[in-house]
Amino acid sequence: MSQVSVTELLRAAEDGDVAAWNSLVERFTNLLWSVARGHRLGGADAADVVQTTWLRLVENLGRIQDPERLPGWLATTARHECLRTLRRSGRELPTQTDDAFDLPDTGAPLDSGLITEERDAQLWQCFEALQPRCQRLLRILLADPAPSYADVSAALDLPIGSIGPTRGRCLDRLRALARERGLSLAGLHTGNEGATS
Amino acid sequence: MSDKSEVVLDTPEDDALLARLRKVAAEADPAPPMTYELARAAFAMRTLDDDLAVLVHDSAEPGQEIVGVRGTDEVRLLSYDAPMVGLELQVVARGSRRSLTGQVIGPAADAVVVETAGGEQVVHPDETGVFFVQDLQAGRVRMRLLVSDGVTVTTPWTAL
Repeated sequence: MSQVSVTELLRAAEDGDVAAWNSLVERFTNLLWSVARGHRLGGADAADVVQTTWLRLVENLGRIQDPERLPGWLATTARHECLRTLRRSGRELPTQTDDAFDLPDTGAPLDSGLITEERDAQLWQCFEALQPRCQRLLRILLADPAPSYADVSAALDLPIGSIGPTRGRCLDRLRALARERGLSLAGLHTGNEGATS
Repeated sequence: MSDKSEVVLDTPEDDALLARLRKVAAEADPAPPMTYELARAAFAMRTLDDDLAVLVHDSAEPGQEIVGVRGTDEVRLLSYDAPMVGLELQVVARGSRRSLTGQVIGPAADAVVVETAGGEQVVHPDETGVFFVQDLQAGRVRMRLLVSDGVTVTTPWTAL
């Protein structure tokens, strides 16, 4: 599956190519949404962050220094908008140094939407019970297409070397939550995916 | 898009759990279609030949002195800077309405185009560069300064 490179799409968009712009939107809107939701923003605020981020890119077309790093630029811009939104609403800002992995999450629960499988629904509830720091990291890693660690590092302002270990700890924490709630993850990973659209 | 060359401690079990979560996230919490529509539409907001001003000061940012509260009104000060021209903006908020007093610093501006989600309006600064915008709906705003020698300077979109 050959994809046009981000650099090519960005250059074409800079030259006024609407189709190239739409391809960028198609590819990275989910990443921006993931950054916003990882910061526990509600639907309206998250949509606003996504929209503002794309407007920032429009303003900066022709000024992006390193086109391959566009996903990182977009995600970083989105994070700044998230922090601005959190400040405006007087909510507590996330801290990078907070290593308290057992702090309960105080944000409003996300809508668990239409999850067909009960076990998936339970897994998602466990995810939402993770501490904010884990949700921020894992949620952006769940973006589709998955961002590179370099982009995640830029987006969350984390040292690149810390992403792998933190990811591992957060997933362990998720497994522990699942165990506490009697949710078996056995076979979940490989489970038959055939019924998906 | 993950960089295969990176040395990390990811186990196959972790990768599998993450893949499963990715599928669940796509079902439980996808980006709403509206976000894609707005993002596509953003391309039309491009201002090709404009100089971009930078927001250099915003009294609403943390660490800044609170400028003032007049009765139920809140006052916010913003400064934008571009190579040729500056813009000082005072925003008075009353509920969801905003009143702006602006001053263009530097060369005279023939007009200021005030753009919002709801449309745009044109105001003309006086000889000291001062202009007023009354009763604007709160939301994203950007200003395009039509400077006398044919240059247009545009501010970033700012939530007012």
